[in-house]
Amino acid sequence: MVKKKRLLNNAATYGMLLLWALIVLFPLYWVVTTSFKEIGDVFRGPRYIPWVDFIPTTEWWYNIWTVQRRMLLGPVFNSLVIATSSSLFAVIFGTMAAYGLERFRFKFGHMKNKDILLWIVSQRVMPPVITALALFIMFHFAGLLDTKLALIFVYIAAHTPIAVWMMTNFISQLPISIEEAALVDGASRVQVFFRIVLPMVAPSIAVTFLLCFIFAWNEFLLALMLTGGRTQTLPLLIAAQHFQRGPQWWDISVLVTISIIPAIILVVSLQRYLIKGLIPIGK
Amino acid sequence: MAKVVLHEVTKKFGDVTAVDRLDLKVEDEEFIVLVGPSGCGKTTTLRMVAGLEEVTQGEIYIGERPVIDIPPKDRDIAMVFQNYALYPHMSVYDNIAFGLRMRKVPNREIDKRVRQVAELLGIADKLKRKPKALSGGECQRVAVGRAIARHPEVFLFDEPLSSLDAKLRVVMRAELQALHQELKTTTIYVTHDQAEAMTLGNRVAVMRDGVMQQYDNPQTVYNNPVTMFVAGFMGSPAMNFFPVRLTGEEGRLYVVNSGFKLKVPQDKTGKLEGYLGREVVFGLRPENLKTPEMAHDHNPEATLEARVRARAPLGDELLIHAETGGVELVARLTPQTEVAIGQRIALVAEMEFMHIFDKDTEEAVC
Ligand SMILES: Nc1ncnc2c1ncn2[C@@H]1O[C@H](COP(=O)(O)OP(=O)(O)OP(=O)(O)O)[C@@H](O)[C@H]1O
Ligand SMILES: [Mg+2]
Repeated sequence: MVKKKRLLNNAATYGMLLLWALIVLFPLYWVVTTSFKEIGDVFRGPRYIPWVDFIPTTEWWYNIWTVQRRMLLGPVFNSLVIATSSSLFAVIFGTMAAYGLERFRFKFGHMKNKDILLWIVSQRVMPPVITALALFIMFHFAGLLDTKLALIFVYIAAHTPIAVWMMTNFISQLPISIEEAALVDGASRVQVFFRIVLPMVAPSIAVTFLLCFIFAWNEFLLALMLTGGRTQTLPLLIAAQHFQRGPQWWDISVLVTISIIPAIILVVSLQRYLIKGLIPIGK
Repeated sequence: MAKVVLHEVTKKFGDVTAVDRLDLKVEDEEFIVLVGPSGCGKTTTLRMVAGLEEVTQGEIYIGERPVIDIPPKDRDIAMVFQNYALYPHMSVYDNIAFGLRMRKVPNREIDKRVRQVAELLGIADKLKRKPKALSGGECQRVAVGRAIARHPEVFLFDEPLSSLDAKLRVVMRAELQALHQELKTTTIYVTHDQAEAMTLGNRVAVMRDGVMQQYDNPQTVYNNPVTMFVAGFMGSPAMNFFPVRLTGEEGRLYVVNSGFKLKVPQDKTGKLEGYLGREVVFGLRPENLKTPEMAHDHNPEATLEARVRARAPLGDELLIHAETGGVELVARLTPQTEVAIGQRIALVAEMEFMHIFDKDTEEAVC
């Protein structure tokens, strides 16, 4: 009786998960299959299953690899450099700020730690459009328009709050006595941070880095405002396809598929940490 | 090695006074135990000595040095935490070596000391493991190893054995004792287990609500508790307390309640004269209540009658819970004693071990 109920429960759980997976994965499936469709198959109503509904072609992939490779490599390189370096700094600043907020008591005027944290996070609540124009003017005067540095700066500013928020949460779960043991053992605060805290939150740092990276990798609006021909990022390139050549869904699908690959590689290689980083730290 | 002195140390958390004007002097090479019920301020005291908690008022000296303004890392103390607080990302070797590395001890010396300590504590074959792969007892040893490898001036232990099972606790207790014999490092040891306090300490400091009650060697604390609290806290099962009236007849003193009338030994009467005719609390430990056969004594002036309410045979002894004059008592009898629940039995009180406490101040009168 109990067993039967458990079975039913399991079935329901897996059923829901399966349904959710289908909903999440379908757009992905659609993009990937479209990148293998003939022009005719794209426009003549929905075609779902390769070799059943349509005969796949590698023409577009081949095209990108040969004719359009040069067009692609620049933005991919830009995106990689910008996303990686900005996320790195966001995570470094975020972790340090989070540690400070968790372990020391601050007071700025009437603001205590919780208020400071909320204030930092609130920077992220504001829609980026609001700052876009101001940033454009700022970077114009600084002579940084159409440089990678401009976007790196902006992304660091935009993603540090997320990193602070996430890392505060992770660090608050660390048992404080381990750090106290290190203090008594003769370590300074700085040594405690680098030799004890950092290794313990490494999985969480990986998770935070991944999130910042994906945000930066996908970011469109600020990139549109602040970059030019030399520093175009991947999302801009993909959008530009549409503007320049009309709805060439096959090419766009190839580019989109390519743009997803780094995130997938990161998630898979960090998977071990992802699971560890998302669940509370034990023992 | 050094002595440790706490002078009028007070710690407040907001409105809560966790430690109240504590005076504590630990001699060089001494092993003292801070004992008391949960929340009495033991951990707070230890953390102030370690420098992990700021002192609200008072002064702490390690050696001759006032340490209030010295950060933990420069106090030359080592602490073993209740949950061990091992560094989870480091091997056992690195855990023990960490403090030495922080103090820039040369590598060869570090290696020598780590192996020495591991040998001493029987964890030499586990040096490469991470803490996660260790049992509770092994973790405890690593935590101790980490403390002793540094040869600090003072050891601080915060209930290091409380998460071990009873058997292992007894083993580790003996090991800690042997360790102190060998190293002679001044030690402050915190526990809420009175048996642990009795076995380990050269001296025992009993605390209650942030206030030190008594600070003396274990035997004195046990035999001559200065307050009802200490009397009740030290010893298991706890001392029996009876509300009684002190009466005098023909130069003799008696403690009287509705269940019994017992004669106070002659040598105790001096201190009690001021209490003649007044209500006091009469205390007697369970082992000082015996059956007439055990006591070889039928003296009616030392005998009370009680009705047995429960019996707990523990193998080497038999505890009985009984009631006399409306008061619960516990007696520790030999396991052969035949008693049934509901039965009335005679118990001989060994009055030379009696205690009398002032009813209002709860302080010991004799
Ligand atoms: N950080 C803190 N903030 C506020 N109150 C605290 C803090 N630390 C301890 N206290 C209070 O101080 C008192 C003493 O606490 P302490 O931890 O020293 O007790 P303890 O004797 O070690 O008890 P236990 O045996 O349970 O460990 C308690 O009432 C506790 O609630
Ligand atoms: Mg405690």
